[in-house]
Amino acid sequence: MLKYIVKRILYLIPILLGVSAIIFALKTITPGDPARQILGNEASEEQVQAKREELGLNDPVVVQYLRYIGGIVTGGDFGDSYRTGEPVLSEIVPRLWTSAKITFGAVIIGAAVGVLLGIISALKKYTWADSLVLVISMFFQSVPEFVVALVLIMIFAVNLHLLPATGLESWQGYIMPMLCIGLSSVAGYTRITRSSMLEVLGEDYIRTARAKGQSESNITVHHALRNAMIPVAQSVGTNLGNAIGGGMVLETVFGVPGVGKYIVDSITQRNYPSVLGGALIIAMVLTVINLIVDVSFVLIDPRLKTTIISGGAKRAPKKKIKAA
Amino acid sequence: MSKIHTPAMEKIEKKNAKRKKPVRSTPGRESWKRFKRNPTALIGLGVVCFLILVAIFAPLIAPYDYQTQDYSVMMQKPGAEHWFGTDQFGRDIFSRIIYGTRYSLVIALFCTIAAFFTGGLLGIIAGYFGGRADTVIMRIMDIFQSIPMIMMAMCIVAVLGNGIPQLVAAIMFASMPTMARNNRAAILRVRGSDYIEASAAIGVGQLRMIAKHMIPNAVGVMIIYFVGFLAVSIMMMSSMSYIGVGLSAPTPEWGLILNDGKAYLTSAPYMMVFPALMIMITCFAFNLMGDGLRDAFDPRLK
Amino acid sequence: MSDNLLSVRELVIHYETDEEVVEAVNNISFDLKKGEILGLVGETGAGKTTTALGIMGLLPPKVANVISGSVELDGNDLLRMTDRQMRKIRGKRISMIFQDPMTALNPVKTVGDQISEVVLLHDRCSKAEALRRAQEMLGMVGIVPERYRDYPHQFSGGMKQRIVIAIALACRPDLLIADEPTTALDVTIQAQILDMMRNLQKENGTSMILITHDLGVVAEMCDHCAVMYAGELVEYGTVEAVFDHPKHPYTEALYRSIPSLDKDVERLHVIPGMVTDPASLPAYCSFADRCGDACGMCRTLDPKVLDLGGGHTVKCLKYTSKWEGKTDGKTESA
Repeated sequence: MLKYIVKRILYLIPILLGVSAIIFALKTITPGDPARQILGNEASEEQVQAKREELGLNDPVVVQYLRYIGGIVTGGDFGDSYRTGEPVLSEIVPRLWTSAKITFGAVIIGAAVGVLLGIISALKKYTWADSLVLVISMFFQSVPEFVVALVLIMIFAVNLHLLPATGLESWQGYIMPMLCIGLSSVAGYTRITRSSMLEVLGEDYIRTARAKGQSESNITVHHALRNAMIPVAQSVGTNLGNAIGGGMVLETVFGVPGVGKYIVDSITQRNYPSVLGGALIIAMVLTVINLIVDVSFVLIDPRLKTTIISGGAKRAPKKKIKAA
Repeated sequence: MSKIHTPAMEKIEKKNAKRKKPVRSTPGRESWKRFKRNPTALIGLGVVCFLILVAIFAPLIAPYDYQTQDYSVMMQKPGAEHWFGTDQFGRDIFSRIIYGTRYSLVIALFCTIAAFFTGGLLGIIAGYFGGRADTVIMRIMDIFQSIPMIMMAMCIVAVLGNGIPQLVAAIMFASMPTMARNNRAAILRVRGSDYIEASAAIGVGQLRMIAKHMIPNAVGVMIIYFVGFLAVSIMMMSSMSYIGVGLSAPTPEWGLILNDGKAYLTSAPYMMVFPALMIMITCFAFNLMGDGLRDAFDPRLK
Repeated sequence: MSDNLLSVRELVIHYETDEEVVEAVNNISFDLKKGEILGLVGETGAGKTTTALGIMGLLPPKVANVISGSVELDGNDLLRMTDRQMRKIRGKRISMIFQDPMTALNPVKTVGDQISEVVLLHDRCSKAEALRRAQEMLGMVGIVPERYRDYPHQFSGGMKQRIVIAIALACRPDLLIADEPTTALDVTIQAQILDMMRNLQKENGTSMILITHDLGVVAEMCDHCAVMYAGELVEYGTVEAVFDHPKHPYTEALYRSIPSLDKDVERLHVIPGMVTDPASLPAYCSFADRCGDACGMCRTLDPKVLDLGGGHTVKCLKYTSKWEGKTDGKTESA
């Protein structure tokens, strides 16, 4: 078990190096001279050259990359914002908490609604209820979150005056952002839950349970659900990425002071260090969360525990990846 | 003939009697048969066809030019003159939305083709050759995957600047890992099948194997991904341009039209209602169609 | 007939889909006395498992349809019972062992939980009591009782089947239906499992229906033998009668297709033709098209079940006055 976790943590290193390499590559092709950006237009060519030398911009790319990595590892240096001159990390950390709250709530809403609908859909397979659930959940999956957000704003904020259109001043402010991100992931959970429930309900051990005289409701809850939840839990990681991506857009729509809005604002302000630093931090957080999700499967599925302890499985089960 | 007769048998006999002579069954025909039976998929297909026609004949349908500003008719409510009303520059929203169909569909098509020729091809190579090529490609895709798709696209646009080619490049790069993974899975599933092994055993050459056995069997799944990705790119495109990243005015892209109307949400909600509806309908139609295709090409995937 | 535990009468089960109707079980009748073992033999697709599931009331809903007939347990028709009544019978009075032990156990529950589940369902007792009983059952099937805390994947195939048997016998059922209990197991394990089943059956006085396509197993274990072909019971009788004096051409053919060590034969005997498609059964004798003894009437009439005396029944035209063919020798087969 411990060996597995250590192995997974070691596997993080190349991923994080790779992600930082991508971000660094984007950084180097960024238009404009960072030295000029910092000093402003009045600075002389000599001053800019001196600053370039000071920033190490004249060194070979590899050296610059290693220095970049070194800065991150030793001092959490993800670059400084052009706008405020503050380190990106210290600007992002307080916003991270806001984003995390919304994303967490959204994942809970999405998973709860999705799993419930999936179970209903599987138990009522090939009936009108099944089709209705699938069409509705697909509607929310196929419509961009921001459009749903606009519709909700028009209804609940503009017309009914029930919820604030923007901002997080009161707890009501959280409702619409969470709902929008959550609804968009409902379809994914519904689909996975449905197909995995249908698969599990066709298994021989369900027949065994029926042969014992167990009731259908008990079979669903005690025998089918836990087995069916394994692929659902595995999809949480992927959905989390989508939720964070969707959150970026929605934070802007709802004026939520989170990481997403910070990055989007920085893009419009051409504040490149903030954009790329922010992206790298998000990617790192996401990777670590995915690791935690993967490790926690072992707790759900006793089969994995033995294969992992005995070193039978080389890698964690591969997630099913689906666009959007 | 049977031992005893039941109502269920009669029903089937009646059905069989009505059926004309059996047509030669091919996988394509079977898939179309399954697709035809799916009402939601047909609705999706119908809407998509309609949108394509709108995009092609946009100049004939649109009553006004999409960028002519007419300050005498600013902010008009929907009416006989301007079906969907006008915006703050007096531009006809209906015409802008009609032309927007062109932009949205064409850009989505470019994005999807680009994604197929990069990520998709990488996935096919990884799946077909396996071994080290597979490991290297897929590990790199793992790395790309750790950055959420839309964030990746935004970062790239941030660096490259706004514009259609930049947007296409951004969406292409961002979708590479998903594309690669899907196509790899499609090829792997075909490659692992017994009939491929059987053809290899009777000495079918590599090129012939790819052309005659693997592509025809994987193409169904790939069409599913293709249609699905059209919807994804429309979603990404409109989301990005709504928050002002990717495309810039006066392109009549739906997300941008929504962005224009943002300031007038309370005073002129009609400015947002119609483009929002268009995005909803388009994405939903593509997804319905894609879902129908999935059931048609691969009933097992459902 | 009061000592009949189970009595199946004129049971007809169809599988109905939009495309076709599969006549899985056609008009079968048989009785099972208390403490007896009935062997149900036949090829794959002959309707053995469907019969078993029909008795258990576990046929797939919507698709499977019981057209007519009755299944009486101690005189009560199981087919007329409500779901709730049926649930009280399943596991308690009738238990079933399925073919593949590898998938028959829930992978995320301990075997102790899975055995005690059935005890808790049917016997009023505490959880601790049920677990104690589960351990006792494990001991009975030859597994160390302390392993009740283990998960199914920690056991081998033969051990899993023992656990499945422990579940089936935990409530001391009156009838045990074993659907090819050893097919999925190694040959060496097969004998052990069958041996154990027979001992447990004797100890508890359980009646048993043993579904198999292994005639050897039937000869060794069963009191009565029923041969199924295309959903019909073509021959039924005591094992001695059916084995020593097989009457139906299909039964005879089955015996001939068993490889023999005594005789040095070039090729195995093969029954000509394919198993009759149950989705399009003929209106005449289902076996006629493959039968070496078939005559013209065999392709016109569907024979009735005929009692040859001593409870030995056969469903063949050969033993009626309508028979036109030679009593010996072959006519052409289609």
